[in-house]
Amino acid sequence: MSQCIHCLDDIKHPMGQVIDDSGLCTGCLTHKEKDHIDWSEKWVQLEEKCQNILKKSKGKYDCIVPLNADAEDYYIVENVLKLNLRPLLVYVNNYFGTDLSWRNLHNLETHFDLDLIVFNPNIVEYKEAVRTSLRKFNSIYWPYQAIKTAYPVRLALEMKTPLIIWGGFQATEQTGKFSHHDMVEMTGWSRIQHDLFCVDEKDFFGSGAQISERNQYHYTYPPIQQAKKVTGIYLSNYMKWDPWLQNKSIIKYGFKPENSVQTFDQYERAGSSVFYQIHDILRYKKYGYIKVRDQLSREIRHGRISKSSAVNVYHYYLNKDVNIESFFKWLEVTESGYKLFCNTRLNFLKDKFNDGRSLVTVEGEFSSSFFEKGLPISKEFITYYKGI
Amino acid sequence: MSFRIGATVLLDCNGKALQSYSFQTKRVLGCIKNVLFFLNAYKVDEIHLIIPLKGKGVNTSKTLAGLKDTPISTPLSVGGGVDSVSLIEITKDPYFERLIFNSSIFDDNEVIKQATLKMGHQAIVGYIPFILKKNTIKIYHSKRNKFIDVSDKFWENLNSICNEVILLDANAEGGGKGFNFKVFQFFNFPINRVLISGGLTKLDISKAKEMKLAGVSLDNITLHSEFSIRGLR
Repeated sequence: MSQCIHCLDDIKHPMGQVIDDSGLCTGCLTHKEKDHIDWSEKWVQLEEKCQNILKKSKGKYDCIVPLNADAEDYYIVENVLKLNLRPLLVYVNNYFGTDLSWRNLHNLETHFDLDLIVFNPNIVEYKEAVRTSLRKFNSIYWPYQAIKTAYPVRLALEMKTPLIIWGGFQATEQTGKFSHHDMVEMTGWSRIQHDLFCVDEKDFFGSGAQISERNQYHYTYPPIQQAKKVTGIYLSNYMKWDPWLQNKSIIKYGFKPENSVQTFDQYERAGSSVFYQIHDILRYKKYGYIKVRDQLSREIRHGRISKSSAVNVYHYYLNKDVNIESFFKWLEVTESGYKLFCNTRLNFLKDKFNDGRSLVTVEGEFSSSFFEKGLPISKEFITYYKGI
Repeated sequence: MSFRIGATVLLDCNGKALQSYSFQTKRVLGCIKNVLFFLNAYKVDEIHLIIPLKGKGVNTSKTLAGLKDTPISTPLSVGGGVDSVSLIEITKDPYFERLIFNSSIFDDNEVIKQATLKMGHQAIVGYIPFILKKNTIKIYHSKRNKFIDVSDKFWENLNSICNEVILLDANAEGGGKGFNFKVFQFFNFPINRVLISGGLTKLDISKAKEMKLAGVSLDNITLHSEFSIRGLR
């Protein structure tokens, strides 16, 4: 059996998926644990763990919170403050942010009145890294993921801050790769496996990327002997993780969701110029599905949509057009280069989608939902934008 | 011999590393080369790599051969479907330090004899997943894919053909509730040649040291936190 009988996942999921003899995938199997875990006990464990880690801490901050400039950041920060921790917020600029994402990021900083470091990689070399990532691995995210997962660790070491707090651990939440009882932490192994799709720095920089050695440092994880001094924990191991519900709850802090054409989830990666555009097309090319399928599987598991309705919604979004031209303009690819890429790498798109299905409304397919009045995007790929 | 802290890794026939829970639920870990690389970096004393066939007759030679370009210095023991054919692939390469057997312990001592001739008695390891049920021990037989009763003769034979054994508490596998040490009441094998595995806690590892066992083989937990074996020695 290659497809789960309960959700939309199949065994080709890039995170790794197993379907058991009863036809259930590990994602659904692991999700069921959530109903049997005493989450208040887990929260106490989290408090104790943080206290233990911080016993010898001498830094100005208790922990680092890496940000995505989306709704989950707000939820993480809310809970970090509930733990009475002094966080330093860190955002690695991937240059894919829109006016909406910068607005949400600065609102987070000012609303909670916290310190925020924005790391801007050298944009010329960053674009070269993105080009290499696209050319060699059919992905645009390797450079960003590499810096996003390495920079907070290096910063934590420099600032003698022994704790990094992340939100949901995708490998557990999406495909149930680990049990919640495993209490998996951030590791160099997980970074390569889950964030960098098994391409380490040596493989990447050995593949023709013209990145100076000085700047390669930012893409590189510290040696394990150093990295082990920092503990990275995922809140989803300690809290009953329900992204759509959680993200709706943080609207009160001034977060603005996005009215997206490519997904019903107005919160996840809201304000990205690429996540549901070129990145999703490349996901489809490599793995045969678009992001909204992960989100629909999640909603099936939370009991908010039936599988048959989810299939309808999925096909509705499969039919939607995506805009990839603006990404190639940002990447400074010539017109002929762009056409060549489309003709050679994206030629499958010609007959990809339209199967003639249609929906009256997406919202009508959910038994309960968390739709909000969101904002449209007015400016994409903002190189630098300060203020609200 | 000093006490060894090793790690068990499961591998499917497509070359993907797996985690196993209670000898039933399997979860994909991912790229085996990445797993081996990090276990090497975490300085485990040895790696026990097992292809769980569970009754399926699959030739594992190709899967094993595919491992050899992973640059690790940690001794690597391999098991799962080791028969006369795959034995040739394994023994011609010094990359593999030892061989782990399960079904052959019960049925086919001839393969073990061949392996002993080629790699030496020190390279032969028995893999003994067990469950304790109604005050008896049952041992897993991979080819038959079931836990079976064994006689005294089994232990005598095991002692003569294997240099060491890995004793896996199948019920505790992948959890954190601890290894069932009661097994030693039913188990007839020199304990200084035994490694234990399955749900090991820090206390279990201390106890294993005190008992002067040969060592432990950690299961899933090795990759669940950075440099997880620190503080366990």
